[in-house]
Amino acid sequence: MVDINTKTRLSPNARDMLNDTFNILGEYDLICTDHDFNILKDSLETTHKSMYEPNDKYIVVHYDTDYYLPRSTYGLTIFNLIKTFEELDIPLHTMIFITNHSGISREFKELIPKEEIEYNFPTIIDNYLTCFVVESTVASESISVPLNIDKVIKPAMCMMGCKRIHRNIIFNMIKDEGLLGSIATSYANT
Amino acid sequence: MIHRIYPTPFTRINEHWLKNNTVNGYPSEPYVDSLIQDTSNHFHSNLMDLQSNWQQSVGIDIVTETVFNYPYPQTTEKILRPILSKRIFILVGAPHTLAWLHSLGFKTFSPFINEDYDSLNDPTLRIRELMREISRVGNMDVDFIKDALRTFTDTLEHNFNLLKSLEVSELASLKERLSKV
Repeated sequence: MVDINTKTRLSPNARDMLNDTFNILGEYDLICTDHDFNILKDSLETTHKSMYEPNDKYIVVHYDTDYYLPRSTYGLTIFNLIKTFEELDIPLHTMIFITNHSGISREFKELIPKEEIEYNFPTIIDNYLTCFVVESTVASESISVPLNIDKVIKPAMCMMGCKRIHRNIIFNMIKDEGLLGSIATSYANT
Repeated sequence: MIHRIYPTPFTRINEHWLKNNTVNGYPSEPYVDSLIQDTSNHFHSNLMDLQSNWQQSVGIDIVTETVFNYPYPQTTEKILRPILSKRIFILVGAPHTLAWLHSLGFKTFSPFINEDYDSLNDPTLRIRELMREISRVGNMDVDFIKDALRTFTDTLEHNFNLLKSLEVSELASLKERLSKV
């Protein structure tokens, strides 16, 4: 688990670029706080300013699953994030929000009062495949392997780690249809 | 003032989408195929996990992303695995994720793979479509899949090259965007 006060999973290159461009007041990974936003609130309070310069920014990264209540059009994590900034009277335009949820700005537009959207809206970075997370940016260090088509000995593979209902369904289907011999499967269900 | 809402820690409310037990979503006992050599790590925390030699022993990677019933495409490092290993993939994830990958310049494998599932918002309909397709590829002859890989050589190389250069191009794009903030 990443601690709220340690570096986030943001890639070093992205962090360096943001630090070169802005005065970064804090960098937060929502995985550390999505179960209790007082953790974020306590940390934000230590850098709170009575007045923010245009260059003052907080980096918030959101690389994990949100919680959607039935029929809710926004996730609890985004709701709580906005409320935490509002409770501390920190302008939302100080936030640079980096995520792998492509299209999430719609939720911010729904939760921020219309009259504030023009001048008090976070900078949302949500349309990049690497999303500047360490685990994905390693792809730039990969080597171009040959296709090695002759190495193929099974039609398919399917790796399933953490417990998810769609993984249960796919694994049960592969097993029940007798495809475990042709689809190399790993099902951890942890 | 509307106060913050606390979800029950570590529950996934959006996991409760399966209605009427129309498909079997019950958990099973863990299982691992002897071909898979890095079972201890499903999280792909380093390049070795994303580009292992053994992954080229199969033709098609069925990628089960973290989310399925979700309002947005949410991709993780899992989708990088078949691209870096130059393999065809089926994506078990949020709707419209393939369309999003297309918008970034990646190419996918229709009509060899029926990718109609990507446009189905209803999670039950989508999982059924995916089950049909996974069943179909699971019953394919290995030589037939090898032929498909040969047919898609340009696509596989294109996707690899695009991904490899992506961090640099995305950083440049981000820098330009932030210069206007």
